[in-house]
Amino acid sequence: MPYRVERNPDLCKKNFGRPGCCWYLCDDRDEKICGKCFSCFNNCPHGVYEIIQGDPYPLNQEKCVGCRICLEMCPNRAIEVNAIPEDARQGWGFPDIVEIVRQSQTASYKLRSTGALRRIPDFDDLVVIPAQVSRPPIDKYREPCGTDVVLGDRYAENPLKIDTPIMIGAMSFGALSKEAKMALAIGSSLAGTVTNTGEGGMLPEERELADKLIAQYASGRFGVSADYLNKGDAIEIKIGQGAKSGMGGHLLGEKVTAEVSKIRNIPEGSDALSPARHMDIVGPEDLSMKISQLREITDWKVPIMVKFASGKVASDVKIAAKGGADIIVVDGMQGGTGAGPEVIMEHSGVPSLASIVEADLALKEIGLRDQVSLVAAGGVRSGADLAKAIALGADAVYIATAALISIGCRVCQMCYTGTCRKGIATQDLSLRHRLDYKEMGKNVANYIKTMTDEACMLVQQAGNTHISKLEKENLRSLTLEASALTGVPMAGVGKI
Amino acid sequence: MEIKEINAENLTPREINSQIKEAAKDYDKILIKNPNAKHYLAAGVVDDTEIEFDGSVGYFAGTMCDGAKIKINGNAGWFVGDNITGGEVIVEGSAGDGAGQGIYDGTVVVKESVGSRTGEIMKNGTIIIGGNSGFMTGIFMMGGRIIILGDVGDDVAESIIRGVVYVKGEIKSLGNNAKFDELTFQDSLELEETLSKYEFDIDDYSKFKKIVPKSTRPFYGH
Repeated sequence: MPYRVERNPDLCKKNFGRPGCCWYLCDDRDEKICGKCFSCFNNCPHGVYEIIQGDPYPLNQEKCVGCRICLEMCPNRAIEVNAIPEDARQGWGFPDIVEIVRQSQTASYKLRSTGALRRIPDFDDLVVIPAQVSRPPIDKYREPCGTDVVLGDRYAENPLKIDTPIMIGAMSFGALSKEAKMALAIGSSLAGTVTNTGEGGMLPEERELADKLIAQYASGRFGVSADYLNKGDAIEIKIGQGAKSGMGGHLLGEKVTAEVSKIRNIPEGSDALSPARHMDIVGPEDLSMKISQLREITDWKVPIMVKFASGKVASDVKIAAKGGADIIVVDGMQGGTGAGPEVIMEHSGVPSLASIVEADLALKEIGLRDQVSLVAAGGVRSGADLAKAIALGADAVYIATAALISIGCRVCQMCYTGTCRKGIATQDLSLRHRLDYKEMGKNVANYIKTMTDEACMLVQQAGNTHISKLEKENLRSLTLEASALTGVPMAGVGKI
Repeated sequence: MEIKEINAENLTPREINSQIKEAAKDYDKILIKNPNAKHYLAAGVVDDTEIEFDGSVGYFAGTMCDGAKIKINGNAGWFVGDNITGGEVIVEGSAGDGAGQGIYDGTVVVKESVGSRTGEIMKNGTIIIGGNSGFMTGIFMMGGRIIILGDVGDDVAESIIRGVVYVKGEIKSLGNNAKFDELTFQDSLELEETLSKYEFDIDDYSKFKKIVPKSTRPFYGH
């Protein structure tokens, strides 16, 4: 959807003809430019603004993605960003035309961050039905609601025991700054849950701050060693991720700084492109061997997880379950990423709500549903999404993009450039200083706790006492698409 | 020197590995009899100890070891020395595909020939192959050295971004982003130093061909 960006020159210069205190410039502490502001110009990730005769103007409006970072960072609140109705001439929307022009001028496919942004059937298409007299509701204010879950107790000696079924998904050091990783670690500890290293090795600070930490084992094997795996509270074999299904991790050279190159042991400034498949996992037997190999290294102590991009969900989940996985993660096409081709994000994958149901059913078909834990990922934003994911069959969920929003991300989709204005997806020290990791850690915890609380309300009004007790029959669909994807009956007489 | 002997005949890999890890704390050397080509043997040993297998081992032998000196008096299956971060793995016989896959440091030596994709995604360390190495040797290499004394198959160093492959014998073809570079006097001294340590006897160290990356960013950033 296109946006209209307006900068009000009177508000901009309301302080005796000067802009307000552009706090961001204190990163530089350059006295010479203290009289100017240019916050909108400097902080727009997409080059919407240009300086005309000493003042910034939003000239390149077609580039705006609506992140509103300029508005948020303007000291005088002189900027307005409004979505305007899509200008479409039949199928030819303005964004389509802008993209064709861009491709014809640059001869390159579009690389960006985040994940699928178009309308896909999601949790909002479902509702949790209330209990009344056939089953009485539980009192939110006076009666307890259980939220603790145990994941991965199939073979592991030490399963993951967490206070809430909301876990923080894999985002690597490299994609994220050290400060962002620390904020997520603090947040996960305060909320009594677990965070994930991602595929870029384990930061010592992250291990120290996170009560529970999943060590990811991806195809690039960055930072992997016996020590790395044994420091994890679980190991996640990443086969794929929902945002860029069928592709390995991308970390562009702009973000491979000396510190990132040291922890991953790759050349500074080179692109870290993980192989699309694990070089030693190319079939069902190989996955089973990989699980056994990692168990041998970790003495069968911690749960082994397998994470898939949602594609042939039933086959993949059965292979992982039969291969001995303790926990299986299905990442829907709404899942996020720091860098990937847009065509893959928008046109490949299965929506999260469909993949949860398919995975749950696959585990039931092979009689392993009680033994294997199922984690849903991709586009989870709220307590309602959590409750619905659990009702559809998941035991827990991952949040990642949502967790980043709680520490300042505004979904500008430019993580891969390494110039994140919020200090999250960057290795630039001056930008990283903008992120107060202790405060942001509290934000993450607040957000997770509130989501859990929200989910509890839905659980209790549906007449249940524990979050894990929500079931598919507690749901109704409001759209035919969601009903067809999940098998959840339509609201009302319940016909599909 | 205190030696611990383990008879692996009727033990599972899990039992063998837990006995090895227990013994590694107290003994200087562990001798494993009858390994019978079982998989994942000596997985994740992080003590500096000598481990000798009296026979052949299966897949992922010595995986993720750090500092242990492993000797295999037989052949090894796929991915021998996978992801080691230090120490050495020496195979007296031959090995399967992916020898020395993803190593970070240390040395993997196979005295005879190996299968394909030797040293794939390795970050650092050294791999020495006494015989031939197959298709896509050094694929996705991100650092370190591979030394092949025999011949090597097609697409050597496919998509390499750092590191070097030395080949003494014939090279079928180079992979994407790989190119030949001139062998310097310093290189041949280094080769001599490394190879003589593992009792390889080479007549002329100036006869190696050297393969390096063309670019550190072959896909993006042009």
